[in-house]
Amino acid sequence: MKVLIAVDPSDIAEKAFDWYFKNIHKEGNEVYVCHEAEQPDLPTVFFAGGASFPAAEIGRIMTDHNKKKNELENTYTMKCKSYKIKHHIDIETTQDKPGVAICKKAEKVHANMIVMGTRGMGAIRRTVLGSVSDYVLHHSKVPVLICRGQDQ
Amino acid sequence: MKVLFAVDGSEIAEKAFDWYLENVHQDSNFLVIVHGRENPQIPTLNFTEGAAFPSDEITRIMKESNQKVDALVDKFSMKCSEKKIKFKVALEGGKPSKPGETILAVADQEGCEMIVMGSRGLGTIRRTLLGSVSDYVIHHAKIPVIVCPV
Repeated sequence: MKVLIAVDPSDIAEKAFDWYFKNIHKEGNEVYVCHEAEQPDLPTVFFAGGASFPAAEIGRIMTDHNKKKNELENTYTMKCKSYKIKHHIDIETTQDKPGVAICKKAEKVHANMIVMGTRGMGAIRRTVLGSVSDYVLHHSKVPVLICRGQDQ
Repeated sequence: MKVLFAVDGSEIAEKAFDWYLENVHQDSNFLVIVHGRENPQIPTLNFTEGAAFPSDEITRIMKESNQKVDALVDKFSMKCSEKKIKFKVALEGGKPSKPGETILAVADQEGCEMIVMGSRGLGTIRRTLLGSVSDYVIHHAKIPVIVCPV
């Protein structure tokens, strides 16, 4: 079975991954770890005052963004290797909303199931179910496992 | 691991069950099958014309309802027995109008670690992507939930 695990840098995502591996994973399952990062907000260029192109600022933002992506990729590559899981890691930047991107990805890799946490890094911490999980739950064509953390 | 499986008479529930058995079930799992039995609609009594108590009607309705539930229980019990799965059936008379609450109450009671259910059941609004019961359970469960779409 092909399983798509949607992650982000949060603890919840990591716990969801571990829980999946401990309780659901079967040998022979192929795991696709994906993160659909939204294009970071780049400062708009103001020509009003003849301001110069904020190249340094933009460079910094992109470097930061890529650094986070790399860290995420390393974290999950290491986990998959240590659990000895057949895996593919896809950390991408997308123009689509994360929910849409995740569903598209699931279709692309022919995933049989999607695994994700209830919430991620979103600002509204009080919500029971984050907007991305909510979207995927309502639009996925395959079963979705929503991993609620034990401490939530 | 104890897994709670919420079923109703729908095909979706059956497909979700088969999918679960094929892809997720581990031999050490123990299944708790829950069906929130709804009390059937019993004809209300009209005293206007001094009508007699429609006991025959009521008996018939109750019998039909019980037969449906028994058929459901048998179907899933057979599936489990065939595949030699450890299971038990929980028929909760709970609040008939709140299957979501019933499902969570049983999960709690039985110490289940995961819930599996279809996205929709026999509910009337067929256009919805996620039925009200699945929606309720997702938002209120304290344990992981797998929702199987149509």
